[in-house]
Amino acid sequence: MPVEVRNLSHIYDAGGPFAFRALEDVSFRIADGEFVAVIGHTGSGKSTLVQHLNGLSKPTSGTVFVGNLNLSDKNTSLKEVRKKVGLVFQYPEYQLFEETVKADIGFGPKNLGLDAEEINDRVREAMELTELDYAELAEKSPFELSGGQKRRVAIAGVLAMEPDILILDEPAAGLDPAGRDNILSLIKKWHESGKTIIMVSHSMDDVADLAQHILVMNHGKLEMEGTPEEIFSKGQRLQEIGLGVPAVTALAMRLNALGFALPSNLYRMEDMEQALLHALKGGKHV
Amino acid sequence: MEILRANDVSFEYDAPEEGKPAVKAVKNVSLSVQQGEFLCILGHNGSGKSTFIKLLNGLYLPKSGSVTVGVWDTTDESHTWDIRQKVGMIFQNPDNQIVATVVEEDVAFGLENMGVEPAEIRRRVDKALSTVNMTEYAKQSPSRLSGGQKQRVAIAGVLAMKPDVLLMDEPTAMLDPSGRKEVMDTVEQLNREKGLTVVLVTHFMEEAMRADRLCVMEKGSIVLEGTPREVFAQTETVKALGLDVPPMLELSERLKNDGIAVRGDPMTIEEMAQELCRLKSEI
Amino acid sequence: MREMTIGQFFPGTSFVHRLDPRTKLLIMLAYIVLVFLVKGFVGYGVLAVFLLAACLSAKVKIGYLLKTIKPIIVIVFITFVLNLFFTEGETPWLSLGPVKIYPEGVRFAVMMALRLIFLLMGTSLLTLTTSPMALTDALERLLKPLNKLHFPVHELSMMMTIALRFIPTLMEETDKIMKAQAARGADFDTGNLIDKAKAMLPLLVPLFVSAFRRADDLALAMEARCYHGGDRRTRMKELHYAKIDGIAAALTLLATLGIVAERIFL
Repeated sequence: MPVEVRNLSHIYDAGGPFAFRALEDVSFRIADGEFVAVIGHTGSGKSTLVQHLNGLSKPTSGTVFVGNLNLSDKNTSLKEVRKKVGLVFQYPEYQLFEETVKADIGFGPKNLGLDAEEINDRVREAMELTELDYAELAEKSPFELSGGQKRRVAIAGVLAMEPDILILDEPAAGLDPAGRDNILSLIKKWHESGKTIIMVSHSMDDVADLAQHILVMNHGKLEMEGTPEEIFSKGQRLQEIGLGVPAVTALAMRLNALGFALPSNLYRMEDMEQALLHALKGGKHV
Repeated sequence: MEILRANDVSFEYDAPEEGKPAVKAVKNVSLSVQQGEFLCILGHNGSGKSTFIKLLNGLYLPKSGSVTVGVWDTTDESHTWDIRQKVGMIFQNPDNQIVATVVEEDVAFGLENMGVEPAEIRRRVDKALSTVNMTEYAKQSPSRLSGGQKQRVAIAGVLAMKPDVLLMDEPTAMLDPSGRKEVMDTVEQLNREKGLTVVLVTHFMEEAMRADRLCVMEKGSIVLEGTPREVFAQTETVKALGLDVPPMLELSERLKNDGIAVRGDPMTIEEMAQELCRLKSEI
Repeated sequence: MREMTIGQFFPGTSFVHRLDPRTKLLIMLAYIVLVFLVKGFVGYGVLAVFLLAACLSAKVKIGYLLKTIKPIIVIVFITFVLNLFFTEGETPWLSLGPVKIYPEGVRFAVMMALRLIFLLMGTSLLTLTTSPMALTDALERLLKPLNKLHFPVHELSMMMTIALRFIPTLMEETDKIMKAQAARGADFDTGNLIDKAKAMLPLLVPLFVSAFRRADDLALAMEARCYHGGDRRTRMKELHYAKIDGIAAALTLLATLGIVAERIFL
């Protein structure tokens, strides 16, 4: 299901004393099944942007289409929107509230008005997708779980709504490296199974390996858009707006300043390795 | 000179339910911290690092073994407040350690507790705020600050108490990259320029790289110790502990496997760039 | 939220802003007593002059102060209507079946409505010109004598400070959790009162969990910064009465005399 955002602007407290323009004339298109990363500073508008994609925020002007649902239209059923677009907030484990893991994950499906059997099926499925053991954890209180497990329960709660599009706001924030790798590998799996993924992040390294399409937000505007190669070849500009680049890209930029002639769009460790082998050994052997 | 010492320290939390065993969080850890040192304790979640650091200022008391701050033992109640003044602490969640509704009032909080004279409090608060570059926010409400700014206010609150040691319990875990850098630059500056002893607990490899000495904790014990370069150069071991390795070391490892003689375990981008230039010039 | 004007503080350097918060608190106390003492429109005249003077010297726009009534306008209206219908007098002005309106009722209803409005405008002026921190400070110091009776004055003011500090944090958190639950199909807006109350449950649990976690963290952080209760504690900012406090007190006394005179002579 494609997403189409056209000339989207959002002003908080419009006309009030603290009016603040959070989004300004943002337009882009996300194809069905893409893995999109939205990158920007805190306050760059990235969180406001993704909240527009499931109708939690309303455009001040411009339009947002998800498939054929027009989210800028007041008559569009929000329930329909939320079935199609799942949004996982930052630190989602802080919103767990039910007595059991099962009930918490079932909260969304229950709100959709599904029957008990269907809810149960969805809970099982969502737990499987998040690698949570149903037999062991379903009846436990979510508050007894470890931090990483809690986060997966919270994400399962959104997956249980079976959205076509899954938006995750900083899904790895606060996790240690192992927890982060675990979540990111799960997200990668969900993408491979056909879901459209939109991941908000400020970690270039996390994004570089996963995304096919990157949106860079800066001061409420869409600063850049493109494939990782296209985005990271503009390393200079990324650094100017204080976003940094993956370590490999930074090394490539430094080396090229020191007289190497590496491609300008390096961002993967493997590619860097090959490029360096070529630069250091290639000369000798060829 | 030794400033902090943990002697064969163990600590356990009460059992979550009756009948279950107590949770052993720290097991027989011995560690000596030297004055002016920047020590990092690295470990994944649940490795016992956050529990351990709370033993160093007597917030937790050891189950066995002992912790001494200078000549004081942390179990000696007559020196509890001396220890807390000498050994300040910054916590993970910036929101949950700010007490007052005005920045400067919060910085004054510790001094007020110590019973310092008002005029002296004023002087020290102003100085501490300027040290962390937060003077212009002195009269503001902390709730409007960014995460990095809040942590700098918390640091100022500790600095004003004139501590010898700054303990930091995952101070950047909840911050964005710019906030993280802000806090780490401040801490590094305090350590290098003012000689403040720093003990930092973190799971971020980038932060551990800045330390003089690195201890890696796993299951309540210290399993690796050395300079960051010495520790991280053991890339496989570090990864097996669920931690990240500096990407430049990983790259150098890969290049070595490809038969390129990378020397000196380059850890930073600049070191790596220089080493590659050297290798290139040898072709 | 945007319409909320009660309890907001606007920093400034006006005469009223510079008054010692204890003075302001005591004047407020006197003012409240006066509002209840006032017997007739002359008294309200005196109070109006007093409030107007305070408002002008605080450099607060009168329109802004009037706006603070907005949130309680319904209460004012109900008070007015109830008193209008249920006050009995001698000869009714108007009688519609069982409902009779007496001139005494009209007078009383107006008086009661004015009482509410004056109370709210007065307290709003106080909170507009005095930071919550200064108010808790003033309260702690004014109540200090109660310490001798083992009343936990310091603890009380510390609790107030912490509450004030965490209100914005918890508000923000509520907003976040609400949005997150809404994204999972929760509906906070439609349905009857019971439905709405039920929809709040998923909000309250995480909010309480978070508040308890914050409380734990905060207790540890306070302990790490040598907090051990109010004993031997000093303060960075000491409060001092100055000349302007005397002037303000004198003006308050003048208003008091006016209202007392009204009660005795009119």
